[in-house]
Amino acid sequence: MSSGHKRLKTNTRERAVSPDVNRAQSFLAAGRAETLRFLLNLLPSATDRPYERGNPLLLTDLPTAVDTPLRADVLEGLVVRPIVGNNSVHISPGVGGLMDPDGQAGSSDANPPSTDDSDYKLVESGGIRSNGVLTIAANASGSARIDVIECQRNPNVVVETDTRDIFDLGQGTFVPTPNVDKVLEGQLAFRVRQGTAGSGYPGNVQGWLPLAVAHVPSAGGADTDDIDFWDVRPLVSDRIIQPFRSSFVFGPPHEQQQLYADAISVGTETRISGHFWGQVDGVRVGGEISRGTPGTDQLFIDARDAEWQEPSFTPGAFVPYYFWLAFPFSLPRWCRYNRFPIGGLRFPSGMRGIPIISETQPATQAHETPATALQVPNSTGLDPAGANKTTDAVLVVAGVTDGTSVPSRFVCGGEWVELADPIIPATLAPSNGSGNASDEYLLLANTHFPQDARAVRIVFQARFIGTAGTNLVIFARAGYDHGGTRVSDAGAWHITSQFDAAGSIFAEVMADIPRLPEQSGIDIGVMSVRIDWSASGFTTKQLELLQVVGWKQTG
Amino acid sequence: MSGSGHKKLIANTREKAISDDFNRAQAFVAALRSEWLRLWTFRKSADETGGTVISDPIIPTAPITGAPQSDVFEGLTVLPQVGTTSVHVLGGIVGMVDPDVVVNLDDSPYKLVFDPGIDTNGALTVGVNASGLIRIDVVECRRRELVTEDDNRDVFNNTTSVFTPTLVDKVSEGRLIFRARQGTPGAGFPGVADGWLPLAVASVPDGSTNTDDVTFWDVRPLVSDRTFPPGTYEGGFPRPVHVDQHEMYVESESTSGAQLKLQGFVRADFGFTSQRVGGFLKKGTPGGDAGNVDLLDTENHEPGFAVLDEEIYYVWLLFPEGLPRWVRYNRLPLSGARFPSHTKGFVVLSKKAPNVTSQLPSSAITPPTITGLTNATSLAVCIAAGVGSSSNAPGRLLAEDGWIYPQPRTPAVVPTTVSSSIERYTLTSGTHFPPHARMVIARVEFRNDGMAGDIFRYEANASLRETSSGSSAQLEVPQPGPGIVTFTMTGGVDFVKVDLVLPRIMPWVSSGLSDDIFFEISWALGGTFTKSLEQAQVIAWKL
Repeated sequence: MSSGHKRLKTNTRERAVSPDVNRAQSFLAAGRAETLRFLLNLLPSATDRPYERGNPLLLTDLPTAVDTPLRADVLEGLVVRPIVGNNSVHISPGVGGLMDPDGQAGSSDANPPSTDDSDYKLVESGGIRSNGVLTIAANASGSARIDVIECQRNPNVVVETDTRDIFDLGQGTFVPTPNVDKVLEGQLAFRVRQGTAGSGYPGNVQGWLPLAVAHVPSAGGADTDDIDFWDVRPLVSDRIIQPFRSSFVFGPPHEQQQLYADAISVGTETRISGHFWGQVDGVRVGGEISRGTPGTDQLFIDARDAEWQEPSFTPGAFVPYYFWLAFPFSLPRWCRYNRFPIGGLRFPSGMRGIPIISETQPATQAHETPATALQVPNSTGLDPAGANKTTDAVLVVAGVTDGTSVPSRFVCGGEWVELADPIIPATLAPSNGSGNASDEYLLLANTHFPQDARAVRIVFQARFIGTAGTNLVIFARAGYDHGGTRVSDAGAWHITSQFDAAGSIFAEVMADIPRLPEQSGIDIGVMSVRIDWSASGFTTKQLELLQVVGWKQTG
Repeated sequence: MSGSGHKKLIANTREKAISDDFNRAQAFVAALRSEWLRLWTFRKSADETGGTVISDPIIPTAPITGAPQSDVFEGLTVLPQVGTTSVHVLGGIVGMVDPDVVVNLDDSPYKLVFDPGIDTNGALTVGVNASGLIRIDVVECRRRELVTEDDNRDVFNNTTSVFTPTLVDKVSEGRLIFRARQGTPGAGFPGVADGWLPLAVASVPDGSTNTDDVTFWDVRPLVSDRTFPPGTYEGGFPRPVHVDQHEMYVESESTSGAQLKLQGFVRADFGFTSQRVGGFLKKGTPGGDAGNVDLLDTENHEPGFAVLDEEIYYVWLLFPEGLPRWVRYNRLPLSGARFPSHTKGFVVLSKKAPNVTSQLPSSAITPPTITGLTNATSLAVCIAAGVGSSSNAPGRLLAEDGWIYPQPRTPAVVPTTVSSSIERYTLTSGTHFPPHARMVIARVEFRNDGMAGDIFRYEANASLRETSSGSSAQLEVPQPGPGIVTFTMTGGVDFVKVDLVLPRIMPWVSSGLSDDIFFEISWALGGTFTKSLEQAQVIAWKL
């Protein structure tokens, strides 16, 4: 007889004792908390066990210690809200689950743990709704300062006392006793932790959960109006497979819904705007492209401006450049607040992630694996020394620099990134030489296309020499070549023309070539493309070349 | 004081307390939690048809037949212990519709059970088989009530009118009993036992002495596997299976030796069980931990599978015995551990085609002999279709973003109606393309004979038709390309080839529509020409 739960049995005519009443409540609370812990908080700890490989949970994945930062799940609320024209921030009411076992290092409750309780604490908070409780200090240091607004469980807060009759063993009677603790609850304690000016993010603290990160500009911060905030709450609603934490290699979705790198509207800028959705560690990221860094509100980033560039960004000409969204310091979201109030309010309203224009390429076909750790732009003030680079990032899109090493234009209508400048500036000659019936080209990942590309769009051409006035007939076919065999058929083109007086015809064809999956065990860093020509009526075939004009990174 | 909306027991002022009240007050809170989760995870009709509850959520009656309807929220992973006959079970939480024999209306029939699992050797053993045949064992669990604490308490004695110290049950909780149930060698899966929830299925080969030789499949009903967690939406119409991402490649036999390796990645939603399935393609049947599936290996074939030249074969993910997941464990330990790490659903080649509407197999598919599983199943997801080669073996394929390019191809088809300007073609479902294909690319060609120097001009206009003949409705097919092509013939012979992207006129929506594809190509021809050898061939399909 039960609903499966742990319960305390009160037997017929048994003398009641007070611990029983307390323990019965603990059992029910622990049952609820454990259910939510398994639903919300557990995640395979090893990266070799992602969702695509069964995502199994092992014993080693069950944490027993207090993490840095606190491992938590915000069901909703707990939004840090800067108050306009004031140095205060408020916190909206909310509910969170915290992996905060009692009596451990970093625990909010130093009392020894009880087996009646769950290590996972479900806490409801009324937040903070008055000025002056939580304030951000002004900064006159001359360097930007990074502060953290964070919370920790405030256990066993007595919220009600009462006068109760308590049996006095000496007198043998009940004696009214005032101020008996009657109702206790776990609440949240909030604080603003100041960083050191010029030193970047002040690090995470064991047992504390960052809710927002504040960039306090040099000679600023008299009120919150010139402070930029990022929302870093671990929101359950951000997860790909809600409410679970699941890790992915190729997590859905990776959608370049619309992207445009505009170097025309303002000739000195390359403005990337549009919409993008991706995932990092099972959390949905991206959104409408927006500033992401401190400053005024705008719905684009400028790939030419150091404001968004990795500090080491000095690309050459005609090379790929990469637009990443980063999630440094083991914190999620990094959703920037609007600087100017909307309806009198400031709130998280940007895309999820800090934008970085970088030369760092993806290491694999996964969009979430930068080959080396990324440093967030210096404009953020988060990591001026480059001591806290991160690999928690997702690639939004790859473009190409032009002949002056400037990030160039591209446009993506939802699938294909079409380049304004070719990634191969002059020509890529066939690897098997000129004049053959089949031309073979070797394209290199991260040189000729981004490693995460699912397919590459090429233009190939050849010049045919013949007798003026006679006819040239061509069938051209292109595809991925694997070990001398064409394994994809990008299409067949019938080209017929008459030689002009100079006896020369250029045949040019565009084709889409799929890539092989990384799991094939084949070196997919080298993409072999073969063009088969079936032509007649010519004397010489020459000047073969291939250019990459686009790629598809979605999927 | 509303009790936050939940059922509550009222203790009135100066009321004499009785023990039942304390017990019932706990039961009310626990029942509410259980009912909330039961309805949250409840089975509903297809999402496309409103997602309404299809079963009345009344309290089921005891006893349970078959496996209890269960939801594993996390954990309860069966963990084979390397070099021993033992398996451990990870702690976890499961919700089970498992009403008590004597129903108490204070309780929910949905029992939410946390169990710490098993972490000692010898408690649960699998792996010894000297029968000469493969044996299928099932590692499973069922709920039990366990008294976890007793105590000496003063209990009032009505006769003596004094409290007397008495040992009483103090704390009880729902826990799980685990067992490894042996099947009969050679007899396949031993069936589902009433009231028991299978967690893993073990294929124990003859000669096995410990778990190292045993192939395990994870069959837990994980909530996190669901298409729309935490609920379950069943059926799905008109596309109950949605393969949303393909990246597959079959390496050539000449490249990989005597193998034909299917490798890559696929993700699919299986509407009939409301599961996400697929993942990295790895061998799902007993054997090594290959990161691919050898299409030539009978270990991955339905018994009796044979594909002839130009015939279509189908790659399925199988879910036998009505159980979910079927994720194979790694055979060789990774960091000392074996755990579920292969594709969700095990990969099997079959000649059985998907039903055009349901996308389930046209008839049940039997698992490969090597598995030891003998019962055919219709719970399967078709993730790819290829074509048999001239050596009467599976051919190669490349898949990207849903388009599958088979090598070789299905047979070319000649037009049923031919004139100098119009050809009508019928592409037969199951012969020229997989029945459940959503689109195909057909390459249409003809030979043109003339004289060197003759001027020739063509333009192709294609349209889909609902039937093979008559004045059935035509739907123009937009074509990329240059439109009118004009050239001068250099020799006496030229071949014109045009690729057409043909969407299906959806037979799965209306039963009155044919499964076959009918299309017409209207040639606007000019100059000198003699047209012959007209044909069309499907070169790719999108599932």
